[in-house]
Amino acid sequence: MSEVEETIKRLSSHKGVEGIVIVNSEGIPIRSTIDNNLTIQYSALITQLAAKAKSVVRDLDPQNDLTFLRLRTKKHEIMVAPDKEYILIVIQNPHEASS
Amino acid sequence: MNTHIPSSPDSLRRHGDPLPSIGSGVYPSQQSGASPPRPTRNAPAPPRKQPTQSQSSQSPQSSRLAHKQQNLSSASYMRSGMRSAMGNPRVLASDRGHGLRSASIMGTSQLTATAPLLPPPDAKCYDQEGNDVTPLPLLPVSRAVARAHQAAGDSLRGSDGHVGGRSFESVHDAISAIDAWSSQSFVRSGSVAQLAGGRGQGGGGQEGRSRASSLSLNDSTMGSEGDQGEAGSATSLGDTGEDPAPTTTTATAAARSTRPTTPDLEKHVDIFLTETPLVWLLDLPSLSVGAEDKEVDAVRRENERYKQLLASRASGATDTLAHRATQTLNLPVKHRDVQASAPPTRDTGEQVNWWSVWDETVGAQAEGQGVAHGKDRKEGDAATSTDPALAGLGLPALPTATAHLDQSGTMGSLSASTALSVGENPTHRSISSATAAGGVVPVFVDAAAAYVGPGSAHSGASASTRKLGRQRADSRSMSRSGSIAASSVALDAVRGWPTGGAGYAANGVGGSEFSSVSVATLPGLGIGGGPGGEAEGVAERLGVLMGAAGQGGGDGVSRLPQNRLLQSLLVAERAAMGNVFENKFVRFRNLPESAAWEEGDIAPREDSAGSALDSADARPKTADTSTSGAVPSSANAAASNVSGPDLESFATHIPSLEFLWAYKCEATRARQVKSMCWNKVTEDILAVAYGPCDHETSASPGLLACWSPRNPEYPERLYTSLAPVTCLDFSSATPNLLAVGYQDGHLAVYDVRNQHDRSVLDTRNSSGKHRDPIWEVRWVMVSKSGSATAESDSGDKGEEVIVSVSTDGRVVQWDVRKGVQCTDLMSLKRVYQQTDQASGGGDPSQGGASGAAAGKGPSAGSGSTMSRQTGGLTFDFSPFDSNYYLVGTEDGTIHRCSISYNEQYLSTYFGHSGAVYGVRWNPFLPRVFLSCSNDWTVRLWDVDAEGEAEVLRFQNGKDSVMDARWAPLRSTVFGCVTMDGRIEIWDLESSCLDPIILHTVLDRKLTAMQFATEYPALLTGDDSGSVNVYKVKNVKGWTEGTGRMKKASDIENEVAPQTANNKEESSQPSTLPNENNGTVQITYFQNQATNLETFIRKARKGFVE
Repeated sequence: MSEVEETIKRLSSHKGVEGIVIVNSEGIPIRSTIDNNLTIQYSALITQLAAKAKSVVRDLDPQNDLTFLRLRTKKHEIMVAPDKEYILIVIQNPHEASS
Repeated sequence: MNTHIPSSPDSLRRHGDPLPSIGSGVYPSQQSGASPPRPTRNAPAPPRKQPTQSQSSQSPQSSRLAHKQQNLSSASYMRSGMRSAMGNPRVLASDRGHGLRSASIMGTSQLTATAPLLPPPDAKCYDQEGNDVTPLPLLPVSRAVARAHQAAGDSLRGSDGHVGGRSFESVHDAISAIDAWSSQSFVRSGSVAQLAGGRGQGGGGQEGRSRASSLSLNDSTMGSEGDQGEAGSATSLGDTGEDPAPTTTTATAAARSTRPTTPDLEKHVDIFLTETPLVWLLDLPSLSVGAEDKEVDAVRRENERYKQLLASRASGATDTLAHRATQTLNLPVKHRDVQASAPPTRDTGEQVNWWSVWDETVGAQAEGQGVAHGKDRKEGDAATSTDPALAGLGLPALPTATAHLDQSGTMGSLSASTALSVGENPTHRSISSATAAGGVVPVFVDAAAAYVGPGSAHSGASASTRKLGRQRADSRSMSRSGSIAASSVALDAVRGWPTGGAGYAANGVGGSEFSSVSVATLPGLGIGGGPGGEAEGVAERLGVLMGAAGQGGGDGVSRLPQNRLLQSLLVAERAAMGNVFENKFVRFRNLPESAAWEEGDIAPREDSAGSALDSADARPKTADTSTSGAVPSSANAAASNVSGPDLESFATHIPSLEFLWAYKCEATRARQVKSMCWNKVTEDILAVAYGPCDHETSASPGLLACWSPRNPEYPERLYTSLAPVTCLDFSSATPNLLAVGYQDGHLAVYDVRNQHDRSVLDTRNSSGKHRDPIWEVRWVMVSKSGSATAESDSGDKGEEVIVSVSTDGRVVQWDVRKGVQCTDLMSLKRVYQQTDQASGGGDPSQGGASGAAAGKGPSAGSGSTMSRQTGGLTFDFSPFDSNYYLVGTEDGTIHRCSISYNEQYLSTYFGHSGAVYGVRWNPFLPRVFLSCSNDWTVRLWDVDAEGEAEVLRFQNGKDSVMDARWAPLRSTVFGCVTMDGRIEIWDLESSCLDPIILHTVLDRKLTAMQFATEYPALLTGDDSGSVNVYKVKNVKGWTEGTGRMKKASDIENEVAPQTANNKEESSQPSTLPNENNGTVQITYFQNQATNLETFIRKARKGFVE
């Protein structure tokens, strides 16, 4: 098993982690640990959000760039690690995590 | 000579036949290949003119013919000059129509020189106006041919003076030789056609005659007997019927007489051309009949018929026409429909915001600095490689330049301001060729600039012979120029789109306004400019596409950049772990816990979680919980202290340990923690040595992990080794180096920046390596003078060495600066307590002051027993003077040693009945140290009380004490861990009978412990492979305050000069929370030292409590 796969597996086994989605640069999910519909929703919406967030950061300072995005919601924390070629989305339930 | 008419008799006949005509007319016709059908070996030669041939030498036939058709000939001669230059033989035919079948045909045919022969070098010919018309050879003459010519000339010379007596062959040879060189030299003259034409125009009748003579000479070039015979028969067909033999003789004589010898050619020869009597070869008198004549009808019919004949000939039909009906078939016509679709078009939109513009310009410059360099080089190579390629095609340099010019010309025409007619202006031609060749010139910016630019550009380019270098430099400078156009071009070049031509385009554009145009035309230019570069660009694009392709597959993850993905995963993992351990981190960092810090429904959960995890005591409520909703910053130490006693319960003040988290993962499971070590710079990094797995054989590899609190569930580094790891230590001078001791006795140094397993240094092959397991390893700063300073002394002077101790009885210093060099600091000899000799106080004879006495003591005490070595298990260098160190041995003795003596102990402390597992100097009072042993005790020693037993003995449990450490901030507080799972925190000020904190871990053997120096936290390692992190609470003088505590090394420099005077007590800087003042530091430090000293003094006096 490659190191990446190992890390994905480990990450998904952490407390409160509900799912991991990896989206390629075209917005197509290429790896997911959650069900299909949710994966599609997450990938489509988060891709837009990440693009917008990146745009915001870059507009404020073109030398700056978005490296990580954490969304704290009532139910979840969505962690987004954008890259040129992919977007990594991790959904975690912090209440479950801290309990 | 001239014995044969230029065309063969066959051709004569053939041409004569079909032309019965009434009116006199001459039909000059081009007949290719009809007249003398001789094979031509060489390129066709133009008609020759033999200026030196006198008029008298012409043959009678030729002369007559020429006279008859003078005008025609002279006119057609012009053409013949042109045509025969192209190798077409020409035949002039005249005929008339009343049955006269004889025809005279004159043709300049077959002007080919059979053998290229050299003319006599000095022969010169002049025309009647005195111009030099010496024929010059066009073709190079080989040496062999020159020799042949020489031979011919010799034979000619030999026959000189004999007219009739010559043999036919030799004469003919001579003539052909002359003829050959004359024709040859005629060919040599550069502008053959014009010359001949001009002469033909001016010449009149003379021209015709001379031409005729030259024609007749020409055919003798063929020079064979067969030709002669043929010519003879041809002549006999002619009207004149002259005997060929005299003609030949005459011509030969003429040729011989005009054979230019060297002296003859020097002088001028006057040639007089006289007219010969007219000879009528053909006479076609016109026939005129009167209208009343009775023959007029017949004549008219005849004329009519002739007209019809002419008409029919003009239409290309044959003479005998007949109307006949025939059936023809129409070609079958098939209709076929092809469906063609219109070229597909696609509309694309692009949204551009200004950071993407920044990316394309400034960002590309930054990222392209490295890449573009290589790219430019390739590009330049491709560009320059085209020039040799074109040169190889035989094209001169100019077309190359103009090709570039055309490209730039198209670009220029796209710009409205550049109305330059670039292609037509020769100046610009050279300029832009120069531009394309080497320079970057903003030629096409506008008209003015184009006119200004050229001069410098031209000079610059012409001056520059190193095209390539210039091009590189220019493209670089352009990308730096910051103009959007240039940079975008450079960017495209970087991305490998239009590679080959991009260099040219960039040069041509040079920061002008029509950058977009140039970008659009780049692909085309790329194709034209550099095929190699273009192909390369295609390859790169293919590579990109390949990388992007196939993303729909389930295997898509493996196509992503693995390193970056892994990095993202690790970051996400840390974030997730941050959520999991958030509250623990807050406590570990000693931050104020505020309810306001967490919002919503998280806070209650946190509380319950916290209390659930608080295994030992009730979780103390801080003052801040009561002031829920207050601003977090208001919760500070003062508030906590002030409000605490008033509001909180009694349980708040009970010292306790709170379990925070455990560093463990699957790989470390069931492995005994052998040793732990903080990084000396970043205490978030914890290196842990793991022993072999209990459930496996001892051959299982050792494990080494570097943990970070960012992810307590997986280590940042995981190194495996073949031998079990027993101990480790981080360097303080180079914090990334980790010294590791192994159970098989060798030592390794890891660079924790590396991910891989390989160590940077290994003593496995060193001769001085330990033969037994290494039990403790430490980096020690050694000054250059030889005295060691403590590792905590971050010495700017001196070097850092590794000191290790092993059960083979040696304390070894490893110098890793240059390879691995080892020095034995001490070889541990077994000593026995001389209780029988010494009275009461133990061993006074060893008197600590005298090193020699101390060294002699042990051996003397054992009397005659042989000196035996003992195994060292632990050592500690004094933090105040690292010349001195303690060694704990497996037989229970503790030796105080100096690095100056490697045989003798300064003093020896007896007391432990079991192996000493740890000795630790007190960080505040230099003469106090602590030891722990497997005799279930922890003992406190005073260096000055040497010979006596320990000052105090602490025993709480009934199992081995594996490790003991002094607390960082309190001189009287220490902690220890035992095999039966007890964590004890002792405070001598509170009690020396019972620990203030006793924390029991069930079913675990605790093997190592470590205090955090920056936070009030404690780490324990157990035999199940986990490192547990506890928060120490409510220990007086230690855990008060919040936030990060100052490390000793942070304030050392401020304190050290002030403490230089009181070196006994306060040369070691202290750690004090929330204090930056040096004076306070000393006070605090002194207080700590005094506290301990007082305690020790009282203890030695025998009091307790």
